[in-house]
Amino acid sequence: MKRLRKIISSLHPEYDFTGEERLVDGGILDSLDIVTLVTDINEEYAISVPAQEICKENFDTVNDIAALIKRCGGEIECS
Amino acid sequence: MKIKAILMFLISISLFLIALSLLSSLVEPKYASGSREGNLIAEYYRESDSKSLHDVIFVGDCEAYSTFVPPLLWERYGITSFVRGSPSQTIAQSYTLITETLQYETPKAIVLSVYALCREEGAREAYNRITLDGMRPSLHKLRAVFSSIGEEESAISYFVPLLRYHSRWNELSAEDFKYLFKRPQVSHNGYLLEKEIEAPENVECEKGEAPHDLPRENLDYLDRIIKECKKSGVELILVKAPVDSWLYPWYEEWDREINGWAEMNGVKYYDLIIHKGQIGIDMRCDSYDGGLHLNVFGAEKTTVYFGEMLQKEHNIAPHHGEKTVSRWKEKLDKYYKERNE
Amino acid sequence: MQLISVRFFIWIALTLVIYRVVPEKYRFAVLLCSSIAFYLLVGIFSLFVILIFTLSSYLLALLIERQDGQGSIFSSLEGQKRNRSGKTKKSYPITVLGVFLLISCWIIIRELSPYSAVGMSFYSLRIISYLIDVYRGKIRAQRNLQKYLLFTSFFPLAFLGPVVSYGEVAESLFKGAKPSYDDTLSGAYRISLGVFKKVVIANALSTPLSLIAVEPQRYFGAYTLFLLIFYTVEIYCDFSGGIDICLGASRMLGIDLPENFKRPFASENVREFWNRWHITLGEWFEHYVFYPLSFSKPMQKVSRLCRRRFGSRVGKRLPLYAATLFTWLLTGLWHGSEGHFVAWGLVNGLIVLVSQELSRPTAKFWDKHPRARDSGLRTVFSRVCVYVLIGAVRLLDVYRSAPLTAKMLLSVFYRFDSYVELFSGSIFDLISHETLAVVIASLVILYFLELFGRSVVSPSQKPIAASFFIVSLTLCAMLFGTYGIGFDASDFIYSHFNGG
Repeated sequence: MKRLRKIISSLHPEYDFTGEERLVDGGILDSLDIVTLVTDINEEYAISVPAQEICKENFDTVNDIAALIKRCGGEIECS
Repeated sequence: MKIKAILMFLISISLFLIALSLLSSLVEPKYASGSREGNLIAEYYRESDSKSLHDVIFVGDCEAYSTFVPPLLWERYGITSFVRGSPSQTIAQSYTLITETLQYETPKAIVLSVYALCREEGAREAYNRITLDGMRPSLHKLRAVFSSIGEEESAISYFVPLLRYHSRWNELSAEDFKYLFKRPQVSHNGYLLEKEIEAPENVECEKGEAPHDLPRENLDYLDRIIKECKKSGVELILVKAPVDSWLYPWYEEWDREINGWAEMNGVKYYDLIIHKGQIGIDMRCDSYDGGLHLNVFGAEKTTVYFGEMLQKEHNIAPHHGEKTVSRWKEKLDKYYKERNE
Repeated sequence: MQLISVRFFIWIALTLVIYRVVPEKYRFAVLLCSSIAFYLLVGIFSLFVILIFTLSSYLLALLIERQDGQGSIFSSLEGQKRNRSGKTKKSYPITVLGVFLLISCWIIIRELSPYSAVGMSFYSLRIISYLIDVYRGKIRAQRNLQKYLLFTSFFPLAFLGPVVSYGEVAESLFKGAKPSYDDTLSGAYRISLGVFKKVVIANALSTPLSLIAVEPQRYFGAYTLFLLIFYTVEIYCDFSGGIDICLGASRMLGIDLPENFKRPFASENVREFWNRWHITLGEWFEHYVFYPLSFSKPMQKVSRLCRRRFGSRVGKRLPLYAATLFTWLLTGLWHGSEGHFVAWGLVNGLIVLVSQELSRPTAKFWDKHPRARDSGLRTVFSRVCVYVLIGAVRLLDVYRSAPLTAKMLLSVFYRFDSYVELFSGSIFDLISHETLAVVIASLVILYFLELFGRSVVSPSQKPIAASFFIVSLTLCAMLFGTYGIGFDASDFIYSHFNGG
């Protein structure tokens, strides 16, 4: 999940991500971030996240996002 | 747990209601100095609570409470009375006050001062307040409120005065705290004593014809009033105070209308304006506001004159009971004390 | 009927009592009757409009679902994600047509009708989201017309929202669960807090601020600054106070509605602010405009094109920013169709984007001064900046003209004569000493109540304190509040923004 973590941190380089935090509920990611994130993910993992999947529950933690990518057919490495 | 919750709820509600009542009393104007008329209506309940009964109840607007002097009526004729008057009292309000009074007692006669019959518009909010705030919460008050209030008023503020007078919180004076629980007594059984003398200006203008007939709704209230009186076996007497000014003019046409109604209903109507000469009214010294209302001197003359009619024409006999005598002696003393100060 | 009125409170009380007394299966009927009767009392026209909107959308939803060949195997409120490939294309035109017709009717009624349809701006959004959710298969279309009618007409939502989706409220609306002790106490506390905010603070500021606003040629410079500072206070207390009453009433019925405000003045940047203010509106536009737009096929194409032509950095931003501005434009239009609403939307959108661009440089700046960054100074500074910025844009609502607002804002910086005048006491011609004192004292009380609210999970943990606050707040509102004869009570600022 190194790639994923890198993508997420690039959205907010000023923030020190631990990987455990609540991204949406904690107010770290907002709607602009999510759109940017999805665009980056689509490009990086060669998938197309459908609009249906864009909701808070799918982006709240790094694990949620990883699960989403998997569901959409992307490959997540396990580190 | 549930009992605790219910208990807490009941305690909270009680505390709320107590605090509400206290705050309402605090912010209500006390009418102790200036606008003393505000306390008139409420003073009746002091009498009725002590179960004192009256032979005659006067009802009406400012003409009622500035013309008839109950202590004098007692002194000369032994007749006990009370004036349920208030400024700009409408005939609808008079009707409600009469029905309310008849629940407390059954006088021998109700004397209605008729000026309100000629009023076309409803009373202003300030006057509704002065008349209705003094009434005890009751169905009568509810009825009076709904028949009196204008568009911008809210009925509930007559039962929770805090809602109307809350903005006085930054105008509170020592008076508001002193009279928090008990208002000062301002009248003599409903008569408001005025000693000033102010003669009317020398403006004799052509009166002309009455601008309109007496409004139908007002005469309807008269019908209701006579019905109530007949139900209780009380005699209704109509009277016009001996004042006729440029501001509150009275017309022959209205006399005729009222006479017509009175005849039809077997009621006596006295237009005391006609009797002015016999009463001995001289507006140069008998009025406190330039001829609009009588002062104490004019009121005394009128009371003596009218009292005689009550005694002779309407057979209202004097009281002799010991309790009554002693109570009224007190009232008389108080009256003369203020009058002669 | 106004929100702050004896009638509304009696309405809530009556509904509450009957709701708790009847057996569970009739409870939703109580809510429905109460809501319909509410609209009847508000006005026949309002009732008529909501019935028409409800009936047509009810039928539309059924039609959308029926057109979909796989309608019967869709799961509904469990929110199970499913593959969209099963859906045929037939229901898409119906959905689009339906939404388009709805919006058109809404605009026509709002702009052309001499009567106002109370709540229309809120239930329109509710209905649109319902249709879209049915189309997406997120929920099943509601077959019971009465239940659907309750969803559209639930009366606490009428005046100020919040904007809710079907999935969020349907279950608790229809279940008729008995409100718990916590529900009752929390709801009552919420209502008293809302009344306090609205009647003591917002109402007191309403007249003085209006006086400043209607005479820009007389009141400028320092007065504009005063207006900037206190108008935000007024609108916050007005809007959030009203929301407190609605949410509190709903809570007392055992129905939880989503929050609209989460300590907005703790925001340290503008983006954060709009995630803390009128939350449900922002979320609605996110879900039903911004995300669909950003992830639509045409937009993805544009995005790829932009990235190819302008490089990754600029290319990513262009479509994102366009979508953002468009969403904000629509948000402005939701408030009203006058020019200053459009300006409000676009300006706010621009500020959000600028804030987005400046976040990295700002973070770099603070990194260079770690002591200042870690002290409270940075927090205070950021919060003040956000407050002033948002307040400045908000003046568009007040002056109702973009050029005038700009002019007045400029005058803050150079009309020193107005400062002299204001501080020499002329402000007390507009607002009395006592009123200003009451407003400031109330804000302090609000702050401490906020702390109390944060120290407990729910008011029922400290029932004595909660009861004390409920009684005191209500009495304070009645005693120190601005209302009654001579005051145009209950004129919610926000209610001006839409047809309702």
